[in-house]
Amino acid sequence: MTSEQARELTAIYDEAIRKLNDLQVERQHIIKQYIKELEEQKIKALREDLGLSTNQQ
Amino acid sequence: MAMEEFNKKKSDLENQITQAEGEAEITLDNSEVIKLKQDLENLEKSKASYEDKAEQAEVTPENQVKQVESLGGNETVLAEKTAEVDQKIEGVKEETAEKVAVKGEPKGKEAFAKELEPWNTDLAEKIGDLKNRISMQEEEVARANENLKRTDLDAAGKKMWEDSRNFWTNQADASRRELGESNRQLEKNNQQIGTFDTRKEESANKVENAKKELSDLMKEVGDLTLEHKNAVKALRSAEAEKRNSYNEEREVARLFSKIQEKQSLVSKAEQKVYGTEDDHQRSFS
Repeated sequence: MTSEQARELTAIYDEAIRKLNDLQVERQHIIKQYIKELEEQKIKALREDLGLSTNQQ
Repeated sequence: MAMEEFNKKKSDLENQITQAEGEAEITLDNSEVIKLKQDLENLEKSKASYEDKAEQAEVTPENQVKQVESLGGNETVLAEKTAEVDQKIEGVKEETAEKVAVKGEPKGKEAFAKELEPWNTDLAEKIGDLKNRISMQEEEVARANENLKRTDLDAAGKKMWEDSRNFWTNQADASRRELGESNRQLEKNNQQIGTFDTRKEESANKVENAKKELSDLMKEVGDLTLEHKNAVKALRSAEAEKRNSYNEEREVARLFSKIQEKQSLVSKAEQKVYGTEDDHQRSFS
């Protein structure tokens, strides 16, 4: 393998790492959002059980 | 310092400089190897980081899965939510694999066979055509032989059928040669497909050996670099010594000229005190 080939392949891997990093961040955001939704649902259910208004914080 | 000694020292120093410059040049010749090694190391690091990242990218951390479950959610819903981004991640992986393949990753056996397929199809067709042609040419030879057996042939007729037999015999021979070549090529292509894995393994071994050789060479380069540093040091010291020697020589010449000057003054003073040689002779005569 020549130096040029090695550098070109390195550039391909580096670019892929950058894209995967961005997608991983996006994926984490989706998971956290889902967890937040579930937490809100749970809080809402607890409030209802306790007979509290759902608008109260 | 005598001139002879000085010249010898100067010559020795010049030789030392030439030698040191030569050693420095050897080290510079290996700079390409150093560059290649650096590029290969960078490639290995990037590849390893990419493989780690590609493996982790679609995985939801254990603690988050537990958190989802404890809040009454489930993994299926989570998977549905991340499906789109997971697809994008797969896309990046596929795109990367394709780009890497184009830039010279080894081909798989199937890809290699596919590449040879059009050639092999052409060869198979050509072999079929040649067989038919040979059969037709042999029939023509047989027909000419049959006609030559006829008793009613005159000289011209006999010559015509002899020419015909020779012509078709030559044509059939040429077709057989061509058929032989096509068969050999087809066999060679199929053999290459069949031995692809073995050859790939052999190539991998060659790469391993080359890497080892490179590693040995790098060690040698390391040694040479040290030698180069020492040579440069020796070169500088030799140059300094050369400068000192030159200054010393100039100093000796200056002192020698001063001594000559003093001697001349002493000589003149002696003449004044004792008179010249002629005066002495006159006083004794």
